[in-house]
Amino acid sequence: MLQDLLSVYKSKLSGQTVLRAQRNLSRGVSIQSGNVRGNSFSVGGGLSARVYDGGYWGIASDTTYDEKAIDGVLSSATRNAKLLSTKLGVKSPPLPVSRPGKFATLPNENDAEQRAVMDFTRALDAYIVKKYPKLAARTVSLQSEAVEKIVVTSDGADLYSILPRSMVYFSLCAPAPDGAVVEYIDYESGIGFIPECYPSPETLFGKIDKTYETLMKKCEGVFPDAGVREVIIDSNLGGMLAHEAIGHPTEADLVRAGSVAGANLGKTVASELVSITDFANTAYGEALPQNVLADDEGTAARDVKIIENGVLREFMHSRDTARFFGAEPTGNARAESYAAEPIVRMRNTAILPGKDKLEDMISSVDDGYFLVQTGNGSADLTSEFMFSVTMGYEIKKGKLGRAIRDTTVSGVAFDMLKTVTMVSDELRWLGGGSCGKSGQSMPVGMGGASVKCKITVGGR
Amino acid sequence: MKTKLMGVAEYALSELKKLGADGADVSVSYGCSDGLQADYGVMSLMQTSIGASISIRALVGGRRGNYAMNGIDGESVDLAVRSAIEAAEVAEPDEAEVIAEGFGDYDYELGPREGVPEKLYDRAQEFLDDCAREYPKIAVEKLGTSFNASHGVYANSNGSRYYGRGGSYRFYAGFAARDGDKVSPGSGFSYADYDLDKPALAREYGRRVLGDCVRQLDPAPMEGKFSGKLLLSPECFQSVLSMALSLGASDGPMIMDISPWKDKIGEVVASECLTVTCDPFDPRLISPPRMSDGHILKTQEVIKGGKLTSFMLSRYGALKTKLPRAKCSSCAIVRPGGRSVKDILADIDDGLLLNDFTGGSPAPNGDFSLVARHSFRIRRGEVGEAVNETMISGNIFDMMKNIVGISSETVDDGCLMPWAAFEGVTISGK
Repeated sequence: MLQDLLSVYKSKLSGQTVLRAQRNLSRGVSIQSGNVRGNSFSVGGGLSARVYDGGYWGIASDTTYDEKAIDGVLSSATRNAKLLSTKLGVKSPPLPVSRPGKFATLPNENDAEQRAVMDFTRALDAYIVKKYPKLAARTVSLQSEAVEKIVVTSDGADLYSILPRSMVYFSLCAPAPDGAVVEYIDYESGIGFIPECYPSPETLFGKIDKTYETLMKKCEGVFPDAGVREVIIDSNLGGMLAHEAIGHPTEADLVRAGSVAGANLGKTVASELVSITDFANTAYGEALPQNVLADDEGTAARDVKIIENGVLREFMHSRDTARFFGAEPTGNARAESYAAEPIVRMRNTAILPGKDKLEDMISSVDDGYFLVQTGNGSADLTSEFMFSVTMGYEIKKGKLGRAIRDTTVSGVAFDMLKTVTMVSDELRWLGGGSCGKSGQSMPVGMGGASVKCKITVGGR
Repeated sequence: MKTKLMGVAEYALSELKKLGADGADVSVSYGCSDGLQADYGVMSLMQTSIGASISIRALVGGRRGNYAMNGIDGESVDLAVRSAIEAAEVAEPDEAEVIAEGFGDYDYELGPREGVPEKLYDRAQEFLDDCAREYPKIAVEKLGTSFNASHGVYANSNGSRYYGRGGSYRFYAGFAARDGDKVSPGSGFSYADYDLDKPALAREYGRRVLGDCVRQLDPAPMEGKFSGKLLLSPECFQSVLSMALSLGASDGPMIMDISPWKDKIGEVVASECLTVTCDPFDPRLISPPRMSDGHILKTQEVIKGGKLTSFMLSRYGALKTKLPRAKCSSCAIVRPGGRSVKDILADIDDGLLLNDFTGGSPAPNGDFSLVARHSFRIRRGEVGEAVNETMISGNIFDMMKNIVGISSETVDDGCLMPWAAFEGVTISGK
């Protein structure tokens, strides 16, 4: 457990100062066609001080974590901020208050031994080899990550947090009838360290079987017909849709940078069936992948109702963007590492469930696609977004047809979301995703219902 | 610093041996940086970072374990040593896990030892001023300048002792064009250099990206679908080439025996105008690696006149496949062609200027489906309007064989690549 050397400094912090110690733990084993290619554990940690002075920030960081280093980063950060404010003059008033308090997740020291992770991964690989010996290639990866931090601020906030998550990936390859080697990747994620998420390898054998069955269908798959198509986006992808299409354009730093969302606050930007929320830590009484009680500025985290019944309601804020927009900080300022600057990031972003049944949604499509698995995605200031689709099916006259090969879908969020005509009554959370922004990779939760909409599909 | 870092590495090697390691390699690094950042066009942040780290690869009975952490104090190093050994003890023996043969001592230094703080401010403010004057529709969201100094040692149990010191400046800018309610997609450029003596806008790359950004204020969705030609910017060509080399010539696909190029040494895998060399010694590169995988790098030809001459295998990959190890598998440089970009463009009747793309990774056989970004329609040899919601799809290995032009001009801001044109790619929109 990260030693608390910071609390004693809380009463000594002056001005608007945040002191943060953080360590990122990563453990993993990867077996590639029988060869152990990954067998590692790493700890990246250190501390940083961040000082705000007259509209300028001073940051200093060090990988050493002791009293001398704490004094050093406080001194350097204060000097950096003062250098700018002295040279350039005061440009902004103080930051808004951060709703300070004492926040703490439960400590968690349930990380697995490396031997157990290795044995577990070997058991998964052995199952695949024995049951599916004709695969062209296979990779099994078992990983856990945890971000542990202590944050104290001059406003009086005091946070201890550890957010572990575990992921298991299966990548299976098989030859298709057309001679191509086809790959299908599926994964599971859980909240907690490996022993908490996966009690035994046997609990994942069903997932392997499903991955193989899906691969076989994909081998027989066809390339989709490119163009604007009516699609059902499965709940498995719904979170990606919420994250990329709406989440990024409504991060207040990107709004300030010119995102089209800025001109649409209070306006109808989507079908009234669409509601999207960035949850701080729980939803519907359920613990979420990112349990953010307070952010890296010490702000108590609250849910952000981005879109309610199709109307754009609010943006996600740090203290700085809240000051700029005259809004309230929402607890979305998060940093990848001890040395990184906290910036506006999503926590657990979801498209909220509607009232439709998935089977009714599929049967309502005459000619389109059912998109069920994704790999990655991106979005920009115009709200144009994309995400890859690594598994899907044709829908013909309301029935699922042939599988489709890898493709990509794209759209302009504020146009596409107006085409939503059905939203399913389910909500599925994925916790294994990471989001890249400004050079920082951040663990995020994504949740989704299934939606019926029109979207641009790539293909041949 | 060299003495201190090497002392840590020697100590770790000694402790690893005591705990039963048959072989090991240890990397220890120390770095510090000073940086300045402007947000939304105004100076806003000054940052100082200090960091040290160690990473260990230990072999016990042919079994490999890795451990990496920040901190190089005695307690941290002892923890790293024990953890690497513990990891190795649970792995499977693998005869391809070996420590590289010793190369003795090797030292190198590149770049200045210390940065000039005033340059960080002056260049950043100059860029903001230049942009405001020459590109009034550009809103600079984020701008950063920094000086980064690093020291690194590598030592292994076969006697290699490597020390490298580097110092370089880094500049990056992220921006979008705005005009009333209209906004372009976010864009940006970055570069590294040993000094900051030239204005950022003296670089052709920066001016090209800024100009393209302004022209993306009025994008038009593509209509329909057709098979056309792509003209790739040097940066985009680098990304496409990296995908092909990764899928065709790197460790993973080769070891798993699924690379389409697995038996193609000496055979044609690309148009004859393509020659690719990995050259870490090209003087235009800033702070290139000199050592990787336990070996001092040497120049390596990969594709010559369209024929595959070498795979890009690590030592592990070479032993697994029983093929030669690559002397270098980074710093890929493409030999310029004989025609100007203008002449190549003139030959494109209907196609796309592709500056960037996003999307999933190509399939193992090279099939891809990607979304064009920062891209423009080409008609009758002229670059036209910006496009959005535009897809490209095809096969990366077919693309390599369908190169119809490589420019004589190259970009020297880090990627050392020419422009390249391809035919037979499906371009589709709404």
